[in-house]
This record gives sequence, C-alpha cells and structure tokens, in this order.
Amino acid sequence: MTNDDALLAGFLDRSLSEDQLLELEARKAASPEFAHQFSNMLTLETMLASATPKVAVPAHFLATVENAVAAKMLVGGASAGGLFSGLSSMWAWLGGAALVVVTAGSIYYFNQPQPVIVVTALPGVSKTATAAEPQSIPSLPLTPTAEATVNTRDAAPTKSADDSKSNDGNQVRQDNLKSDGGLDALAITVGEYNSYADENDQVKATITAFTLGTTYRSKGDLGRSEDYFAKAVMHARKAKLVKEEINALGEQAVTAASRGNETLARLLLNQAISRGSSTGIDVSVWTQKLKDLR
Amino acid sequence: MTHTLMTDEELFALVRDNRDEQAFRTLFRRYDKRVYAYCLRALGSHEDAQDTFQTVSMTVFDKRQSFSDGSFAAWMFTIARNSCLKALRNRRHTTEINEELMPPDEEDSYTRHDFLLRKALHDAIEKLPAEFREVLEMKYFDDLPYEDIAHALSITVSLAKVRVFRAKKMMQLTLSPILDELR
Repeated sequence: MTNDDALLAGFLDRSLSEDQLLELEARKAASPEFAHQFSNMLTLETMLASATPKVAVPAHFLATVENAVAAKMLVGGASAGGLFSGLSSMWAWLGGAALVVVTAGSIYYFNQPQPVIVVTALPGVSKTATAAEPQSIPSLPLTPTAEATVNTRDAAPTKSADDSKSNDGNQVRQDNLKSDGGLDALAITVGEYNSYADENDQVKATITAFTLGTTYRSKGDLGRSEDYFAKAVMHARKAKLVKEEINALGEQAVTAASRGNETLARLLLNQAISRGSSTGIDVSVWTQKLKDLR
Repeated sequence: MTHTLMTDEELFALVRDNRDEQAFRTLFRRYDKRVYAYCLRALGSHEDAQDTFQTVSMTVFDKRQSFSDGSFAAWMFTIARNSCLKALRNRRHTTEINEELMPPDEEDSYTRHDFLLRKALHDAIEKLPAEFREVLEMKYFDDLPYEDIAHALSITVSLAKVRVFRAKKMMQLTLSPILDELR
C-alpha cells in the first residue's frame, strides 16, 4: 500500500493518530486527486455500512434448530456418559428419537408455507452459480426487495381506471380494467400480475406491471406506481425486452420526478438513455425529459 | 449477572461447563440470523442454508470442549465457513437463485433510489475476486471485527485489513460514476 492508501485505510478504520490525521488533511489540501478519492471512499463506506443484505429468515426453522440443540444439551446433561457418548445409553436413544421427531417435523414444516423474518437485503438478479472446489466462499446475489411478489393487499379498492397509456400490451390490460364493472378491476390486474410473476412469465409480467405503474400514477398513488415500474424494469430485463425496459425506466423516472425525487429521476433517465445508446433504440423522449429536469 | 449482559465467551463457558440452557438460548439468538444469512449468501438456497445452519449449530455444540479462549464469534464463523465450503464441495450441481429468497408479502421500506444504489453496490461486490469479496462481506454484512475475520480465514489481521481496503478500492473504480454523482 502507498502512504496515501495507508492514510485512507487508517482513516476509514478510525485508527489514525492525531499526527496522521493532520498528514491526511495536508494531503487532501495538496492533491485534489487524493481529496476526490477520499470523498468517494467516504461515500462508499457509507453505502457499505447501510447495505446489509436482507434475507428472509425462516423463523420457525431457527426455533426448531434451537430447540433441537437445547434438547440435545439437556439429554446430554442427564446421561452420565456425556453427550451422546453411545447409543447404548437410554437417554441417548430417547434423544435420538426426539431428534428424529424434530427432523420429521421440520421436513413437514418446510413443505408448508411459513412466515419469515427479514433481517437483511441483497439486491441482485436471478443468477446461476456453480461451485466446484472453492477456496473462498462465493457470494451469490439474492433477490432484491423490489422483486418480491406483490401481495394482493397491494390492490387498493378502486372502481375505475380509465387513464391509460397507449401501448399494445397496455391497451389490452387497460381494456380489461375498463370493461370490468363488478369486481375491483385493479385488484384483478394485480392478481394477474402476481400470477404471471409466479409463473415466471416475464413478458406478461412486464406488460402488466407497466400497466399497473401507469394506472396507479393516474390515480395519484405514486409510490405504488414507482414500485410497479421498477418491477416492469426487472421483468423486462429478464425477458430481454430492451425497449420495454427503457420505457419502464423512463416512466419510473417520470413518477420519481413527480414525487420530487429528481436525483433518482436523473439516475433512471441516464440508465434509460445509456441502455438506448448501447442498443440503438431511440431515446430522444427520455433525453428531452432529462434536459427538462435540468 | 443476567444472561443478556454476559459476553459471548461467558455464555459459552456456561454452555460448555454447566449445560446452561438459558445461556445457550441467549447465545443462539445472538447469532442465529447472522449465521443463517451467512450460509444463505454462501450457498444460495434456503434448502442448503438450512442443512448447513443445522450442521453448524450442532457442530458448535458438539465441539464445545475444543473452544478454550479467543473470540466465540470467530470460532463459530470458522465452523460456519468450513461447513459452507464442505457443502459447496459436495454440491456438484448449479443452484438457481430465485424469488423465493424474499418473502412474498415483504413491504418495500426503502425508496427506489436506495434500491438502485444498493443494486449497483451489490453488483460491484459480486464482481470482486472471491478472496476480496469474502473478507469485505464478513466485515460489513456479518459485522465481524478484523481479528475475527482473520481468525476465521486463517490469515493475519493486517492481511484482512489490506484485503478489505483493496476490495473497497476496486469497488470505488467500478462505482466511480455513481459515487461522483452522490458527492
């Protein structure tokens, strides 16, 4: 490591002495490049510190294991020969039987739907990982929160949804929304979206999510609108529907801007434009939106 | 002293020497979600993570006599890491990561902006060489001190620090457009 690196690393680990802190300040003042690097590293540090991944932890499973180990400990405590020293011990047999019951119960349990606790989130996309003789633990990306299947409670009761965007797939869905007079049309579309997402039908899920994004925006529910456009982006990526991905990014940006989050809007529009530039798709409308934001 | 105020090592001594159930349960609940998350991150599926988590839990208890001093967390993560490596060696097939990893009714608590930043961040972590990624994740996601990371990976503390710093420098390069925008 260079001296600059050592100063930077020490600062991030909060291990610099006062003299070293002064040296760091002097280096920042003397070198704009170092000051820039310092600033970026601080930002990265902040991002890392708040990026603990979310993982859906099966609470009942953890409780089952806890109870199994506790039972093993107690059984071991009761037997004179130590913990599971041999199956000749009656207690060990009983403990073994109890563990079999716990294990069988676990197998049954894990075949049933179960509640989960979210402790942490790892954004990423569905990926395939191969492991052969690893020396280090490979990290596999988990599903981002935005990919979580939408619960039916997302469907707020509404009676009309007539503000639609002109788009082939959207039009079909919007017609459904309009024509359904009895049941909650929006709830039906959300249900359809859930089905498509569950069935891994990325194309239909893209179209439905896009429609829902548009519909929720027309109803003023910008939060849900943004959520569904984000889902549309995700499904479009999986389905490799580049144009739809760009449009969903653009529409999500428009919603974000309406919510007052212009930083996010710019980020999304830049993504849309960059995607369009790399694939030769016309993104002039999004370029204009970006200019308007500025 | 109440169990909740005891250190990990004090609790584990009670488990090891007295088979103190309350001490065991207190200690277990301090680490269960972190160790499970570690296994899930390493193995990529709940099924494998559950198998390995169960193995780790049993091994920690079975091998309790072999723990004498040092950090309990470091010792336990060493067991978790070895168990994950063993599971990976035994697994000859690929694992699909899918939507099951998130609860279907999980509400989004952070904004799309956060989401995109986190996605970019995790993509950058994913691109790191394995030895750098592992040490970075242990530092930031498992919240382990350098000493415990070094112990778990059988490397020196200074090497652990260097790897974390280099990992961050690599990420800084990857993420520089975003970092510049966020400044």
